[in-house]
Amino acid sequence: MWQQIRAISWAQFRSMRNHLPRTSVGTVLVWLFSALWYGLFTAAGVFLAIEISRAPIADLARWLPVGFLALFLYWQVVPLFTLSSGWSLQLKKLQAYPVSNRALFGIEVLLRITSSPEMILLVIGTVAGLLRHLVIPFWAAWAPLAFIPLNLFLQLGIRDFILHSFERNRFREVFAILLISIAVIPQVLVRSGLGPDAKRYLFHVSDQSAAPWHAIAFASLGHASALEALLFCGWTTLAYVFARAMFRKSLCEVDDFRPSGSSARENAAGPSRDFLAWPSAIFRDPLAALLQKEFHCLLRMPRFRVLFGMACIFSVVVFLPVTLKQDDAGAHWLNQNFLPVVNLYGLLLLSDALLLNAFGLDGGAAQIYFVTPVSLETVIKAKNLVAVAFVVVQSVTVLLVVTLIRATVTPGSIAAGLAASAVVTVFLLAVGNFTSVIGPRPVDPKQTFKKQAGARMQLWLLGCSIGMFLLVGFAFLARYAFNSDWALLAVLIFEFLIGLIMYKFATESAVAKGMRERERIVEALSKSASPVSAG
Amino acid sequence: MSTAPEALATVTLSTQVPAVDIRGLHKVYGGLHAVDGLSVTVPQGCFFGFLGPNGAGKTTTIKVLMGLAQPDAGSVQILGMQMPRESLAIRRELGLVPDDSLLFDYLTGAEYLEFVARLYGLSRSLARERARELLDLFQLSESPRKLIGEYSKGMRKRVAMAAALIHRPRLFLMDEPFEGVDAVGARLMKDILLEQVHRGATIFLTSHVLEVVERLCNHVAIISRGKVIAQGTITELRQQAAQDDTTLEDIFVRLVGAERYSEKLDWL
Repeated sequence: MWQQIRAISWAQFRSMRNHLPRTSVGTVLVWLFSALWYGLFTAAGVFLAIEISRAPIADLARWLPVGFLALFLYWQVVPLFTLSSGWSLQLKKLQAYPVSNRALFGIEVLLRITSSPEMILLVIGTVAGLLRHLVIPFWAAWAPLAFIPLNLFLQLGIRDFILHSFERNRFREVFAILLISIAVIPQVLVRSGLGPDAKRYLFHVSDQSAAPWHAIAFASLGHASALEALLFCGWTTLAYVFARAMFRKSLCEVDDFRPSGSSARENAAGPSRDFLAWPSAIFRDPLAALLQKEFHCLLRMPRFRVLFGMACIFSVVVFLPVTLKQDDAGAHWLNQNFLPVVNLYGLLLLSDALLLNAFGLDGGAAQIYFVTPVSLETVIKAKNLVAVAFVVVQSVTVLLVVTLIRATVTPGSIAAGLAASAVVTVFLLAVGNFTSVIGPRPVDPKQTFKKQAGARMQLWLLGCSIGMFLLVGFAFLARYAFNSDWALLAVLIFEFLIGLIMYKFATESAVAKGMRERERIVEALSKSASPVSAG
Repeated sequence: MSTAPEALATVTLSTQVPAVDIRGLHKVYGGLHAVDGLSVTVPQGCFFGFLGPNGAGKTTTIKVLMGLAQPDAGSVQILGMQMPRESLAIRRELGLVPDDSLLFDYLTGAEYLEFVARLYGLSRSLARERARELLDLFQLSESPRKLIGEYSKGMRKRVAMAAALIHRPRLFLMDEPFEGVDAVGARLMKDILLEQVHRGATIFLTSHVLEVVERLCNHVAIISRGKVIAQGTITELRQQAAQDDTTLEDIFVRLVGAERYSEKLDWL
């Protein structure tokens, strides 16, 4: 088994090493950001090591269980919230070889470390602190390390469970959105009146002696009873069994083409097909054919459906808790501008699939745009029109949802929301047409859960978020300065006009560059992955 | 309906401009010559087999012909039109079966064919009608709601072939068109292709199955390391090999200089 694990690790290392000479500035910057992020957690680990080493045992007995509970929650919930499942094995490729399932499982568990490495840093910090503590026995200080396998097993089990649910459930998109919305619960607790109760409840939960965080905390102090130790082993075994069962299921379900539930089949014929033929009534071929194809494909792709659902519903859910605390100035501002903020967040969620990497979901099939008698300009125009159509539907849906939940909606906020969306959309289209050509990346349309944006794309997303903030922020600043909604609208209209000019030039250069570098684009979109994929 | 290549060879090939005229083509990737001064002329109405070992430059040449890759040197004329200057006009005349990567998994066969037909400028009604007929012809109409992603490999090849035919192109560029197709499907595809040649279309085909090439093609070029090392009719190649009864496979193996593996690896 270890030989196979070594072989897979070696193949992954070689894939990464071979990729290194092609590392872009974007990747380097993302590494720098990652270094900063993990640097912060390393600092937190050092802080823990120092503070724990000199804390009285009574304080440790009170705070360690809560700390381990928080660690546990972060470990299990944050990857759901960030749609990040870390690195994972390409089972489709590896299953063809005589690699035992045990070896694959072992690697997959170890790869779970990559989904929340910051928690490992905190555990190491805790262990270091306990080791330096004068009262705590040496053997007990190592106990927090036992918390790592429990979390890795559980995380693998939960991840695979979610993936299976997404693949099998007829309403997987709804399920996905609801599941991701769970991540909002802590915010609701903090921002609402439930907060203090939640804190009390958290302490209560952390104090349950049967719970693994309690057992590990007391074992770390050298106080755990035999029963607690036994219970902890029981929890770890349960997590292992759960992870094994879910992993076994993953092995059986590898590489099936799964269109979006029953709807794909329904869409393939009947009234929905006729409904999606509307572009033919307005536009001429080949634009109409391209539009129709985009609508057909996108609406059947699980990944796009989840993203669109998130943009429509999750964007509202994620900001709702902030508005609950009315005495807060920030919450008051958000309440007044709920619609624009939610709209823009939704737009950002859609941007990767629709705007910044427009050819990604087509994959290698995008080469059809270069070998058939259709200009790249028409293709980009079609993709942009479809993006605009989805943004309009998203804005209207958000408006309906916001009205339904009785958030503050005024004609002014509706106008501001739509205008802000229009401005950001036109800028994102301009930037997106360019990024789609300079950094195309294939996206797996079946994959609903994994994050698939590359390093460069994540950097672009970050840049776009900052740009979006500046654009809209400037308009809100104008409203604040002139104390008038008209000032906000005037700035947004002005920005929109600038955006149109930028769109024109960006699209022209994207078309020229796309035609010049068509071979590279097709090659990039047809790429296959290494044995381990980042998610 | 199958026609022997000898019979095909008797079909008078067009004396007009050649279907494909490649002269001194060079394509370099990272200092490596994928195509190194390749010159090939394919007359119109010809069933042309383009052969070579792996890495010989076949796919690169097809990519250049499809307009996907820019040549570093040399000239390419297709049906009398200069590539890449008249690229759009050339693309209208091409029917492509590169591999299955042109297919969109989330469209049904009918939707895909209609989409492609409309990109080639066919009216919507005509596109639908031809798509339906082609699906029937290629026996793909039994499951009209099935998405291409759910198709088997053979079905994917068949739908790709149907898409290549839908606008009645004058030149077909085909990369391993029979790969993964069952015997019945392959026979159907061969018959259709031969019929296309009879109506005057040209087929530029690459295949590793030399028996197929021998049976179908009336002209063959063999390339190795980016250069043409032999070209002509099968009979002319036999004459070059100075053996009348030799197979195309023997000629090919001799020309590309392959050795017997058993002499190299005694443990195998």
